[in-house]
Amino acid sequence: MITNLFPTFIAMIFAVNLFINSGVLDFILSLIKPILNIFKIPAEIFPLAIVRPISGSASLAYLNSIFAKNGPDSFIGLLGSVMQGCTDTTFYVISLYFGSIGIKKIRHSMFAALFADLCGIVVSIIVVNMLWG
Amino acid sequence: MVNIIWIVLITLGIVYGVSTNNLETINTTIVDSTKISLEMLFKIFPVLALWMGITKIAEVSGLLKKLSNKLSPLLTNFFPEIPACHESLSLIASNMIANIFGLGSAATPFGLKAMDSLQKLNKNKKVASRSMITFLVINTSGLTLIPTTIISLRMMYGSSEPTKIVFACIISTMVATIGGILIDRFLARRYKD
Repeated sequence: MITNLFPTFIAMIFAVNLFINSGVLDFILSLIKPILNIFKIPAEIFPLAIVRPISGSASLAYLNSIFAKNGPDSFIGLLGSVMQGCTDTTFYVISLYFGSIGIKKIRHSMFAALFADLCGIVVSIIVVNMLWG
Repeated sequence: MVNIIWIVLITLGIVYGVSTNNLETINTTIVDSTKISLEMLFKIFPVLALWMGITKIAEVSGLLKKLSNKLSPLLTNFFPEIPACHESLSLIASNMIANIFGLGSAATPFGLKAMDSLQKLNKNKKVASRSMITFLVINTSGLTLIPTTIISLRMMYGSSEPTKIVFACIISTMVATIGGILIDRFLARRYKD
């Protein structure tokens, strides 16, 4: 089982780290920022929403930095907590689960899983705004 | 499909790194990621092995059977392909129960075993079956009632009410799960195999 998992693991971590470290993520964020301002969503929360499905440890590290900067009971701290709690690391679960049994064609699972993440993120913004906005 | 996503991430990273003259980062990432993945594997392997053992005990002692008998009438609605009383139903049930209580590391071994037993029912071993996709969507939407990691992180940072977020989490995770199941049902009907 370990021999099945390890190559998937390396590729996954390599891709995610390269994506975050090379600055692509920051670039995408700078593009999306004006749209967020229209909906009055704090821009600082957005990296969390994007990283959450890709890497669990990266999003947890990001939540850590939000807590350190704004405190866990601030609006953005609460929103970050709910966002982190409402979904799981989609890409990780899909790679791990399908990789372990050698599935090559995953059909619509990626789309459906990301749609679920999107639902969770949107609802967490709405709920947090209603409760503590 | 999964492979394409990783290739896209890697290509984007390399192209952006080269165009912004950031080759140094790419080089360190290449070396570091092997190290990080090995460390991560060492971290999850003992937990995985332990819970694999515990699932085996739960299976032999009949606890899983009992659990699944309680949950399977409910689960068969979501997994019409699985024959009643098949072992995968009890594994899926155990995975869900571990997830609901926020035991993510305990949920993974059950999940991997459930996938393995779903593969036995699968006709085409290279293509994901419908039950696999449904199971995966329920799993990735993170059906958690008690987000233990976040509560402990909030405690660490001196929150006045670490569990304040639980109710909001339950609502958003439920909507995520329901949304995922609905779109899965819709798409499965559209792209029949």
